[in-house]
Amino acid sequence: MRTATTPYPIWAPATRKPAALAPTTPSRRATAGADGDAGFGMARSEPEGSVLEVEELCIELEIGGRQVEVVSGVSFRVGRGRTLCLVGESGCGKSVTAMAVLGLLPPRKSRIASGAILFEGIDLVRLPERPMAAIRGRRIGMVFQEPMTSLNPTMKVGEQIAEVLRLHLGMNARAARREAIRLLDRVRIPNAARRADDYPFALSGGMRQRVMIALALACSPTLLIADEPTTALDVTVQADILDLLRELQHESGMALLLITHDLGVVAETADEVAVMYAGRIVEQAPVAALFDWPEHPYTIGLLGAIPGLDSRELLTPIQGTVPQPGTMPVGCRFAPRCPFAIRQCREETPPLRPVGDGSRAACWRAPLDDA
Amino acid sequence: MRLLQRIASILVTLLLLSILVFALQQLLPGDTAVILAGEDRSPETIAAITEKYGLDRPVPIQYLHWIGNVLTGDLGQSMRLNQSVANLILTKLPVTIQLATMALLFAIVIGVSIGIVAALKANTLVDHFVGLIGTLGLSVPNFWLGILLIMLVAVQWQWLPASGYVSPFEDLGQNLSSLLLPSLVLGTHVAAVLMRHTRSAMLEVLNADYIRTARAKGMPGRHIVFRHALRNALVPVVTVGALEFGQLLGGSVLTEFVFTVPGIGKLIVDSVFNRDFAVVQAVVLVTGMFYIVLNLLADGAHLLLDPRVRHGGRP
Amino acid sequence: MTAGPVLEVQGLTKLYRYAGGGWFGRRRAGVFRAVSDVSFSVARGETLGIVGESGSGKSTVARMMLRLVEPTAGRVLLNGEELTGVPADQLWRRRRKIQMVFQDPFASLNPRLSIAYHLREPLIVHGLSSGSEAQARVLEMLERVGLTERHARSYPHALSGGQRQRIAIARALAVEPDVLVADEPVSSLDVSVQAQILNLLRDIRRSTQLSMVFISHDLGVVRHVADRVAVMYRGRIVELGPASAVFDTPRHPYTRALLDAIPIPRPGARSRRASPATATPAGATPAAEGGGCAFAPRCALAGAQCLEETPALADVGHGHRSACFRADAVTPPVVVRPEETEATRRLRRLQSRFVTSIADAA
Repeated sequence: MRTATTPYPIWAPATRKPAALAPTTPSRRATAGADGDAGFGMARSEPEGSVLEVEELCIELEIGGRQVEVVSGVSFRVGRGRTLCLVGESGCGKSVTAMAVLGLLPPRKSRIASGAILFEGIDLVRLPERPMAAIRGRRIGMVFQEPMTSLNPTMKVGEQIAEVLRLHLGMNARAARREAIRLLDRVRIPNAARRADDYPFALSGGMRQRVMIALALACSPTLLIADEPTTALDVTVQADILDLLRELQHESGMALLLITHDLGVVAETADEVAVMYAGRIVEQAPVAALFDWPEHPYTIGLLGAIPGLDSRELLTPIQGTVPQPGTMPVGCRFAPRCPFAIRQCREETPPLRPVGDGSRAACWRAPLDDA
Repeated sequence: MRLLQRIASILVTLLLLSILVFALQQLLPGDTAVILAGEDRSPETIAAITEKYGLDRPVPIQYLHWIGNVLTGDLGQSMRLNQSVANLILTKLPVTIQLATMALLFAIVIGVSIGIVAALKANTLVDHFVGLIGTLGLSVPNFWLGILLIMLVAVQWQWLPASGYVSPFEDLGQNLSSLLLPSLVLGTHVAAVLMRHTRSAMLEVLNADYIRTARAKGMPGRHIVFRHALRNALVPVVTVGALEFGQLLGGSVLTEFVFTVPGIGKLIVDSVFNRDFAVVQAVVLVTGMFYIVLNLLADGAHLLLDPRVRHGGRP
Repeated sequence: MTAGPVLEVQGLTKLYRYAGGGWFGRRRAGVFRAVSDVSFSVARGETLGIVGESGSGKSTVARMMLRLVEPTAGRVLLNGEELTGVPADQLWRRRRKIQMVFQDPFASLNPRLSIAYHLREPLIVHGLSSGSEAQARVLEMLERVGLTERHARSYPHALSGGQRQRIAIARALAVEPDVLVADEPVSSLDVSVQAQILNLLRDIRRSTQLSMVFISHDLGVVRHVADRVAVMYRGRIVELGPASAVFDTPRHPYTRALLDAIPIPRPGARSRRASPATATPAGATPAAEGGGCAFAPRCALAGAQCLEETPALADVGHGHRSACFRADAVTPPVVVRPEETEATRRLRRLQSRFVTSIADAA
C-alpha cells in the first residue's frame, strides 16, 4: 500500500480529499446520482455527486505538420453512478476527448490548449505523469473499441489482469491471480480459472472485450470510460456486453462515460447525452428529452437518418459531409448542412445555452418551431 | 506435423547444399584430381586421389562416393597441412564460434539497447544521432575499423593485444582480452543491423493498441517497455539475430585475418591462397550447415516468444 | 419482361479444407463448412436482404454468386442462364448482368486513375459505348448518383467515403446489370451519410426495376431496403420470408435473438431485454459439431431433436420459411411502438425539412 507521505496527494487513499487543491467549481445543476457507494462518504465535500467535470476543453492535434484544433471548448460533467454518452460521427472529437481525460493523447503530436479536466476535484490537465499513472487503471478504468488488438498477445489474460492488481493494490502474485479469476467470473466468462491461462488469441472478440472490462474494473474505479466498446462486435454480443456494463455499474456505483456513434446504444444506456459535431458539443440533455424533443438540427437530422426496425419511411439524410479538421466553417459548424440556417449562423458561433427541461443546445434557432 | 515438415525441408536443403558444393569442384577448370592435390602434383599423389575419390567414374557415382565420405566424417585431406580436414575444422571451429558468440553478445547488448532508446526517443536529436551512428556502423568496412582499433587501442594505448590468440584452457583472461578487439570489430555491423531492427520493431509495438491498454492500466513506463513492448518487439529481432550469427561465422574472414585469429575464416583464406581445395570445400559445407541449423534455432526462439505460434493458432 | 426469377441460387455450398497445424500437430485437419446448401431466388425489381453476424457465411454467398469464390457445389442461374460451370473466358460476358458493390469503396478504386476513367472502363470493356458517347454516359451516371462533372475529373483520395461509395454504385450500374449484389455497402459510413446512400439505392430501384441482393449485419438497414429477408447463421439460411413477416413475427429463435439484441434509438422502447431466446452468451459455446441445429447450444427452446437432426428450411405459411423444429413456439419480440404525440409530430415536421432541402439541391 502506498503511504500518505508520498509527494502527490492523490496517492493517498481515495477517501482523503487533498486540502492543497482548490475546491472545484460548484455544480450548476444538481444531479440525481446521490446514491454513490458508502465507501466514499468522507469525500462528500465535493460538489454533489460529480465525478468528472470537463471545462472548456480545447485540444490540438498535429495533422499534416500543423496544429489543428479538433476539440473546441467542450464542457460536460458525469455524476457519481451516472452514465453520460458522448455521441457523434467519426471525427467529431469524442474519442480524443476520452483519451485526454486519461492523459493518453500522443505526447508530441497533441496538446491540450486550454481548459480543465477535474476528476474528483483534481485537475488532470495539470497533473504530472507519475500521479496521473496512479489514477489510470486505479480510479479511472478504460475499455477500448478494438478487443482483438487491445490485449497483449504474448501474455496470458489472467496475468494481464493480475498485474494491475499487483501494481495498484499491492497484492501478491497468488492473491492477484485469485482475484483475476474472480473478476473473469464476474464478467461471466465460463471456466474462468481455465480461461485465465489462455492467451488472447484463443478467445473470441466478445470474450476479449469481457477480459478488457474485467481489467478496467479490477481496482473498482469510480469512473469507467468506454470508447465504442461494442462497435467491433456482433449485435448479440453487443447486447450481452451492454447488459454486463449496466449490471456492473449498478453493483459498483461507478460513473460511466460511454463514447459511441450508435444512437440505439445511447437510448438504452445513457442518463445524459452530449451530442458532438465537428469538435463541439452541439446539444446536451437528459436522454429522454434528447430523443423526445431534440433542439439542435444536427440531432434532429441524425435521429431521422437511422433506419429503424419499425418504419419504412424515407430516411432524412443530412446533406453533405462532416467538415475536416482545419477547414472548419466560421460560425456554427453545422450551418452549411443545416436546412434551418440563417445568416447569423454563418457568422457567429452559437453558445451552448439552456433551452428548457435540463437541455442545452448550441443553436441560434433554438427553440425550433415550425417556422 | 509441422516439425516433421521442417526437418524434411532441412534435409532437402542440406542435400542441395552438398550438391552445390560438390558441383563447385566439377566446375573448376582442369582435372579434379590435380585441383584436389593442391601444390603437390606428383603423379603418385594424383593417382592416389583419383582412386580414393573414384574420379575416373561417372559424376553421380562420384557424388555418392563423396557424400558417403562426408557422412562418415571424412571430409578429405588437407594437402598443405597434411592433416584430415575434419580434424582441422574441429580445431579451428571453436575459435571462430567463440569469436562470433562474443561478437553477437556485444551486438545484442549494444544494438538492442540503443535500438530501444532510439525508439523511445523517436524523431528527437537522440534518435537522429543514433541513426547516424547506425549508418556509420553499417558502412564502415570492418578491416578498416580493425586496423584503426589496433593502432589506437593496442599500439597507441597498449590496452589490449594487437593480435594473436590464447586458448581459454590456458588462460581465460588472456583469451578474452585477445578476442575482445576482434569481436568488437566483427560485431559492429551486426550491432547496427540489430539496432535498426529493434528500433523499428519497438516503434511498431509501442503504437500497438495493447500498449495503450497498458498505459490505461497505469503501468509505469519502464514496465511497459520491458514487460509489454520488448517481448513482442524481440520476435522479429531474434530471427534477424540468429541469421546474423551465421553471417558472423562465415563473415569473420577479414577480421580473423587482420587480427591473426586462428579460426575458420583464417583457415579458408590460407587455404584459398594455397589452393588447398578440399579444405575450402569442407568449410563452405560446414558454414552452410550452420546457417541452416541457426535458421531452425531462430524458428524455435520465435516459438518460445510467441504463444500464437506455439499453440498452433494463426499468427 | 420474362416471368420467373432474375436470379436463382440453388444449393450453394462452400467447403474449405484446412490442413492440420501447430508445431506438434495440435490442430486437426478437417473441413470447414462456410456455406451449406443455400437456395433462394430474386424476382425482377425485388430486393433480397441477407442478414447475419460475422462468420454466418453471408459474404461468401455474395462472392460465390459472382464466382469471385468458386462454389464447392450448387448452381447460380441468371435469367435462366447458368453462371456456375461456365469457363472463365465466357464468364465475364454473362457477369456483366450481375454487378457487385463492396464495403470498402476505396479498396476497389485505383488511386492513380481518375473517377471518369473508372466509370468509362467498364463501358469500353463490355463494348457498350466509346468515345464521346461514353463520356456522356459517364456524366449521366454521375448525375444519377448525385455527383457532378467536377467529380469526374478528381481522384479517389479527394472524395469522401460516401462519395466513393456513390462512384462504386455508378460504376456497377454503368453496364446496366439486372442484379446488383451489395455487400455491406454502408457499413463503413457515418449514419448521416449512410442514409444518403440508402435513399439513393431506393431511388435507383424504383426507377430501373433493378434486382438487388443486399447483404448487411445491420438489421435496421436491411429492414429499410429489403422486400424479402434471409437470415443466415453459421453458413445456413435459418429463416427466409417477406421483410415484414421476418421482422414482426420471426419464426426462428435466432432471428428473435437478433431482433432482441438491436438497440432501438428510443428510450424505453423495450422494458429490458432479458430475452429467453439465448440461454448462453454468444461465443461461450462452440457450435454443434456434425448433426443438429447449429443454434441449439444457445437456444432456450432447443429440445432433444434439435441436438440430433439438422432442421430443413420448411414453409410456415405466406412464403415464410424457417429452419426450426419449434418454429411455432417462437414468440414475436416485445417492442413498445411509438405513440403519436405532439413531440413525434414535431420531430417529423422538422425532419422533413432535411428531405426538402435535398430535393431543392437535386
